[in-house]
Amino acid sequence: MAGAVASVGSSATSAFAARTNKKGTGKMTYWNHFTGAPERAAFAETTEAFKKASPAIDADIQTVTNDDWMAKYIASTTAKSGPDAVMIDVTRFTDMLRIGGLRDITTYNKQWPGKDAVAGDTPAFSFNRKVYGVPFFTFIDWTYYRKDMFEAAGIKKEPTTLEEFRAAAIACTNPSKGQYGFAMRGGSGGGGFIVNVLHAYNGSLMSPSFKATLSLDAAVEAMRFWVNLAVKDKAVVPTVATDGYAQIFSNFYTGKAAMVMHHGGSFIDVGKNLKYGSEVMTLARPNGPKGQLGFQAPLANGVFQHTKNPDAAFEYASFLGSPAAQTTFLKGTGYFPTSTDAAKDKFIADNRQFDTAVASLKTLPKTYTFPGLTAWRDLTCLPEFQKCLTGSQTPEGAAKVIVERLNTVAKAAAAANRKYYSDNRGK
Amino acid sequence: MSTRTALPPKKRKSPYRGFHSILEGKYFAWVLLVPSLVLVVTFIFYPLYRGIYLSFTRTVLLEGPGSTFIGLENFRQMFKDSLFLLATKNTLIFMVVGLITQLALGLAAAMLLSQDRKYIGLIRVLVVLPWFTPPVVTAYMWRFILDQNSGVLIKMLESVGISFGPAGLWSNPDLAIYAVLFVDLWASYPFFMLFLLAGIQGIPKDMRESTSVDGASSWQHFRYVILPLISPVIVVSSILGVIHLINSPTLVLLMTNGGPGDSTTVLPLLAFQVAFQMYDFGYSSAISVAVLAAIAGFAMVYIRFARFGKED
Repeated sequence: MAGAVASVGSSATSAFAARTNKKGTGKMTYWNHFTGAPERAAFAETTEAFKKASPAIDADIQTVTNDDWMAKYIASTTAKSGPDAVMIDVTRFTDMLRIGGLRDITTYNKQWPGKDAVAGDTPAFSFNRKVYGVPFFTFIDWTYYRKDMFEAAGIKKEPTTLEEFRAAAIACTNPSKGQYGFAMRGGSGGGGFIVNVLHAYNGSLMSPSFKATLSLDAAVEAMRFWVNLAVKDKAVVPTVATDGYAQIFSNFYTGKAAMVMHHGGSFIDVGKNLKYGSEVMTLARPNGPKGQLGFQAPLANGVFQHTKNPDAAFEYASFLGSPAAQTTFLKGTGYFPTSTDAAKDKFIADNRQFDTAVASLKTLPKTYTFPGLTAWRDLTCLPEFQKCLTGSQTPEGAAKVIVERLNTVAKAAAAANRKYYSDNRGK
Repeated sequence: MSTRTALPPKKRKSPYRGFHSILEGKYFAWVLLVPSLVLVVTFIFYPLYRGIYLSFTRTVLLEGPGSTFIGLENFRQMFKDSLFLLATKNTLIFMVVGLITQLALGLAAAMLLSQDRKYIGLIRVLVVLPWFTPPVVTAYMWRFILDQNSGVLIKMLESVGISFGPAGLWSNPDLAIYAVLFVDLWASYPFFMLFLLAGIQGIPKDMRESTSVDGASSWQHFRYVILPLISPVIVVSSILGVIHLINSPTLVLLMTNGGPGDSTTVLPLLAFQVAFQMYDFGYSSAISVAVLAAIAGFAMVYIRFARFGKED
């Protein structure tokens, strides 16, 4: 651990020696939404390294939970008083930008020596040729499966398509033993999976000019598949409608479920509970008729619009974008680096489970980010899916509501976009 | 030749004359009120005014800063919004069931704890503990206690033949709201208990002796002596309880987030979601203004109905 800290510190120091941005000083507050123990430990390690690399900056790392994130962000933006640097989840990027709390860091980024290593994901945090975030790492969606349960069910081949996935889930299901094929997330955070399955059946859901491209037929097929896994096949843990992160992993660890879908961020946690190779393995997300069921979603750090200390804020954001800091997070959590240099780390080559992530990087689509995405996902897609599970809605009815609402969101996004361009012309 | 009239000696002006005139003047009371008025205007009237003003505007943050005045459009939209109507129904259930159960349990606990027994002080502190527990802790603790797969209470109930089915309590749209109400009952009944206990302890002890001499049973003493005497406390605590039940979406937010489906969505949660997930502050403010009007209306009707402050 100490070695890792030292390596982060030394390489970061050398990186900053070449920079032309003004060195930051004074107090710098950073908001992130990480609450997991491995994430907190990785932050503690990188913060120590940052203090060595930039002793003139007093970094205060604060956690704001995901549930409170937008409320606090909006309050801070409205009050023009808040943190200096902020974490940016790509699905929230356009919302955060339009609300007005992100600072244009194009000039800072141009002068930052480390920019080329993260250039692949920088466009995800850019708008109108302006950069707003320094990529930190990427969530690469994948599936964990219990090798013991697959073997007991006689499954020889890892599922690669949705139909094979369904067949594997059914094969692993034995309600009399309290065993189910899949720990589906239908509670908190489950909306993302509905977007995944809609994409897998439809292909792209939204055009770059904010035109909804989700067809009703594809939405119906997608909803039927996802709902029927639980309702007709009964291959899903029955508490699905309220199962969030803690519940799906608890079900997976205790052998109640054979498969669970998440991303690389749970890699270290899973390894603490089950032994990789003999008990648990990773596999790429299955393919649907029009696309893979999953995304790669980068995460970045940006500078708060109303900060009084932008130099220190960018210094911290770019520090987290450095290969050394990304490697610390990779080893501490499993988050896949956005830095091409960090991606060459031996840790990835030594852990064969990361082969799935490396392969998925080439096939998984980039996640969506359009204004109103999170509201549509969490306040329309998820409740409609839950209603199907509890019998108060049909997959067809849910699909209709989801498509209609997406059309409304797209129209509002297009109008907002026109207004945004017009308001920011020449700025 | 002019005659000079001797002028009276010039009275020296006191440097505090202005200050004294304020102290002695009719505006002195207002001067004393200034600090409180500034605070009230800043922290109560201005936010209230802004909230009411926003409810008449279209203010969607994704469309950029600024608001457009749209009159009553948000209120019209509210009555066409099926989710608003469902949330109103859920809020009424939450309010009525919550108030009745919390008041009844609080009153029962207050009656029990009003007796002079050994260790009664310690017991009173223990009984009040749930009220001191932060809502976040309460929510997560009970979410797990009532979890279908690992919840202790669920396992105990199953062992005596009470089952909520394989999907469990939280996944049942008909029962989830009552599960939240149960947790709120656990957390909030001490609030009523404290109020009512104070009221009961304010009743002179010799009244019980008098009613005993008259041959009144314990029930009659409670019904005809205690209950009328603590009715003002019941009225006040009920109004505060209703305000808490309607205005505190924390437990619902953390335990169900309005689900499964929309089955536990209540008005303050809807207002929160519309504001901070849909970024529509105009419509959210309209919902909040409607809730405010409903609470104010309830308080007025309830006080009038209970004839609070009037002697029989």
